[in-house]
Amino acid sequence: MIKTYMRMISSFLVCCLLLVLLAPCESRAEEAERVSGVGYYFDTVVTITLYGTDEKELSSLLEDIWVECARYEHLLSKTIPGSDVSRLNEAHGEAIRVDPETWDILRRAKDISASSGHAFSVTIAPVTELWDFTGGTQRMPDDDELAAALPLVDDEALELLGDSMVRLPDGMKVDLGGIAKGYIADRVADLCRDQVIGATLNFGGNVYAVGEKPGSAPFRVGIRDPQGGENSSIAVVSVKDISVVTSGIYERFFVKDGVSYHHILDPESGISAFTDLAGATIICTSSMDADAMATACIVMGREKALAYLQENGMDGLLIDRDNEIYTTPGFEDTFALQLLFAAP
Amino acid sequence: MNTLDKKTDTQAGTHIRSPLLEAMGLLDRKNRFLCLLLFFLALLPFLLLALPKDSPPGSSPGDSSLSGVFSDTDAPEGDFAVITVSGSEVARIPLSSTPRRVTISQGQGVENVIMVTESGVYMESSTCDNQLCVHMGTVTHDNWEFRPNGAFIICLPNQVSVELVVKDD
Repeated sequence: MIKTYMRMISSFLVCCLLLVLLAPCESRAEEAERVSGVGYYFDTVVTITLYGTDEKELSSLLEDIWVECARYEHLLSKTIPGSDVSRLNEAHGEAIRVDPETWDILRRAKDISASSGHAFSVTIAPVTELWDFTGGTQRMPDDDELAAALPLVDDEALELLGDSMVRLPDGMKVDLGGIAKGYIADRVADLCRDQVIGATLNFGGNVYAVGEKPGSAPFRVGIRDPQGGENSSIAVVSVKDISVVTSGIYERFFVKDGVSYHHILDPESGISAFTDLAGATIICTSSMDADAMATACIVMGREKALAYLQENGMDGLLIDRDNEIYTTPGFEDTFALQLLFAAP
Repeated sequence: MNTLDKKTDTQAGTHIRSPLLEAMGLLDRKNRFLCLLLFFLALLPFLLLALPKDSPPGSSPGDSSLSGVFSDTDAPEGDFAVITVSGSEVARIPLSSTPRRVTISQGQGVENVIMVTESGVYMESSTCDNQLCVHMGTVTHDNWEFRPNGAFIICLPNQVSVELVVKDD
């Protein structure tokens, strides 16, 4: 009699144990949690979408991300008083100590400036300040203003000293606008990497696809059609754990006397880059490199840009002013390039 | 109803050598009750996991200076639109066959009008100066992965965003 009961009880206990053990596992496999948010930093919009297993952890991570964004904005913004960049621009030629991170960004900016033949410049601020692409005034510099400002654009004159010290000649100004968003995207991606299944971070055109979508699928990122509207993509790439950065002449521009002036300035002329390129997309694990190089590509033009990307082992997609697409070797297969002939 | 005392009395004559066996002995007549109890105990983790989760912060309707915002606080079953102002969620609205027009008024003439239809969501009008948000078209279940801005429509000057959250299964 007791044996029968024992058998019955044992089977029940085993069942209970199994159910208790399996319950949480089943819940995880069911559906990944998703948390998203929108923030306004660096004069642009940051959109973050996180996928993971625990909603509370994701929400907490999102809060950490906003804290980091605010910290970087106060470190790297040209317009916030007391930021490293503001202090450097107001140092009147004195060497100042900056945050090691600021120093690293300046170091990389100088490298890319040199490797690109100064198609990318981090000291272009005296020239960009003469233009207004967003305020609606259509302000552009005259010849005298340009002649005065152009000698102040010289990345080689920016001295990076030891112990996080930096010296900028008096009158020159640094603007990290062309590289900082990429750097921050990289750091936020680092922050996310161990805490999510996947994430998409969009820092105003710098997209970082962290990990993968739940279910092991790649993230798909649309590449803007330079001749289409805000909602129009010309192609889509499928990516995992990599950054997709697109730069284009359609982002900020005004038309004056029949000429379309856009915000990507040629550091040599101080005027919008009138090359054969309308858009450049770089895919790279370093969003910072991709950020600076995408801008440099537009300034270089197609032939130089393709050669430059290949020399540096970068994957890129270039779109000329006739909407023809050019890619570095292997790009189409690596990122499952899908061309869209009409807006979806 | 039986009490524990009564059960204990009924086991008085059996050979009980340990508390465990004593407990098992209780099953003599009440095994059905104990089985059910064990069964429900086993179900407990499932029941706890199935409890509704906390609604996201800031999703309650009628927030401060916003007007005309209506909201479903729980995550809807199908695709839904999430509207934020200055990064804070103010409404989440499921796509439905009855189109909904949501007006986000922030005072001083700052206003965005968002349309949530059966197929997707778009910015119908905005008082911003560049009108980029109005030109961002409709985000739908089928196009969100192809758009340059993904599932988002954003009005930077007014700091209003709409995201289509797609349930892809």
